[in-house]
Amino acid sequence: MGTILEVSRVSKNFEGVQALTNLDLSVSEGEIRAIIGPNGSGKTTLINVITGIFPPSSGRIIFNGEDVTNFPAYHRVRRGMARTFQNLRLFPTMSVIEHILAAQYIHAKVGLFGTILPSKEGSLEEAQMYERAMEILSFVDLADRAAMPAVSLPYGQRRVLEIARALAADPKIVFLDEPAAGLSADEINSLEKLLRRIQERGITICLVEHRMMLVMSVAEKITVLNYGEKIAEGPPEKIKDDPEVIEAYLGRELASELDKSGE
Amino acid sequence: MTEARKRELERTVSIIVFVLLTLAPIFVRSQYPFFVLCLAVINGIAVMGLNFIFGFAGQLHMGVAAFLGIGSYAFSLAAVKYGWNWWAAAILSIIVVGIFSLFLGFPTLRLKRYYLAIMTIGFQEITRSVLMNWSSFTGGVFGIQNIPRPSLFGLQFTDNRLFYYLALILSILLYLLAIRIERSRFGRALRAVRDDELAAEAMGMNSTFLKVFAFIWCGAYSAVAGTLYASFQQYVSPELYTSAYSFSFVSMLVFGGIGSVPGAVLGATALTVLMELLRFMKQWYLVIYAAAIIVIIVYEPYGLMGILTRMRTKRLAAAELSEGARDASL
Repeated sequence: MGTILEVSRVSKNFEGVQALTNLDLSVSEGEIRAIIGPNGSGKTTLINVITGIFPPSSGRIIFNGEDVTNFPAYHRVRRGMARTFQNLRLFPTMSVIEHILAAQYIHAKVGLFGTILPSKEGSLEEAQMYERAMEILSFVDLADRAAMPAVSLPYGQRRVLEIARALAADPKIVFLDEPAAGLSADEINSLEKLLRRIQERGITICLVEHRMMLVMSVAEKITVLNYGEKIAEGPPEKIKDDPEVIEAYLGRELASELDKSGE
Repeated sequence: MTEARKRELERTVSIIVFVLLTLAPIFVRSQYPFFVLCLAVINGIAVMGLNFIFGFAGQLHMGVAAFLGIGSYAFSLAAVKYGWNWWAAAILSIIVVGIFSLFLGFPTLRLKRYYLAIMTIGFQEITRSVLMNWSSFTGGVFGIQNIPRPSLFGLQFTDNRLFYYLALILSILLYLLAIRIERSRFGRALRAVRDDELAAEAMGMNSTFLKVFAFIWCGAYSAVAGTLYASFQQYVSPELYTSAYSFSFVSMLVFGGIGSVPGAVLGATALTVLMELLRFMKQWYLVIYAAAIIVIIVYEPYGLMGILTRMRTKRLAAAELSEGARDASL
């Protein structure tokens, strides 16, 4: 299993606020990696830098052997990166299936003329997109909601749709920013099963998460951030007992959470 | 409302509107009302164009009249001053406006939010000023006269009615083209950019490219409208292409149904006719006009198409309910 993502000495400074300092991160292909850390430790900033929302102040991002540091976000997606947003950014005027269809835009082969003028290739590609969209919706168990407006879905399913939309881009790696936020224990169980199914498809997963229950059971390796620096990295068992990690969080709270999930 | 039902409603509305427009010349005999009818069709084309950038892509454009004017002038200068063939001049006008759209759109649309609105307000003023003052090239205040009518396979479109049907056929073709774009992956991508530009970028869409793409289509449609206008009146002058005219296109789209292609045609026809019906009120027509727009924005942001959609949804729901009640009682 090669290295699919190499974050090399990345720093990010926002006009005086040092959000990330000399961060090194290496993700193996097919891995499920979790990035944890107290609020404000730079987890989302790191994802934003990796996916291209803003450039690092210094350092490089190497994806699949290619230096993507200067690529705009949309170009990185075409190279195989996809992401979800912490606060959900669904399209308010679109239905569930339209989200998945829209996301297939980048992989379409038929050009402008073939699409807007009636053509065999154009119709064929549309049909294939629909088929693929339904396939992805079935994969995440949202097939029966295909025609419904996305905003009418209950919260848990909206989070799933956000993930499905990321999958529609046919990525090699997917960055999930707090996918479990606001989910019930049952929903987290479903999410865990979904993550494993995604891994089975050969997609590398990198998740930023606060819910330790999920992190401990699904992550193969955990990277811990605090104040924009990496303070620990390793398998869940090692991280759980790391004193620096426990101290970085609000001490007692994390310790008791970790104890619970350790059972 | 499902996609299939939405398309059904669109098809019904567009058929009704175009059939009415086809039959209208039978009832409209005198010259001035006929001019209004033709203007309604021409405005419809321009508003369908505006719909690409404002309706689909969500970027406010306050300078459609300027682009329409550039189209008019490019066409007129080519046809009158340089003796070009009508059709060649028409295509030239599309290319010229397309180039303007590309060079103005690209630097502006790289930015997010409302910068297109600001740029187009400015461009509108600049255009009118240039058309007015560059008299050696544009004829200045006197405009351009003796603009020719087209001819096709020996048929001359000198008769106003004949010209009207040409404009109407073009309008129908452009309508069908707009619908195809809307339903294509480009249409979906534009809607994604409109709904959430950041999320669209995170899905791999080059939002700048897509916005410029929509802007160029808007320009092309504006050029066609400008060509038809110039050729119909056979006279153009800089005073026609005002910011008020630009704004009226925006209100036509909002009134008819922003984002909807039949809505664009519906709104353009309705407001063009309304504006003329209220002409007896002189400047007070603006009160009614503005009131109509305010009512729409407050009660139905999706305009006439929004109202029709709601009515249809209610009727469908009522039908389902009565079916359910009937089944239950069996």
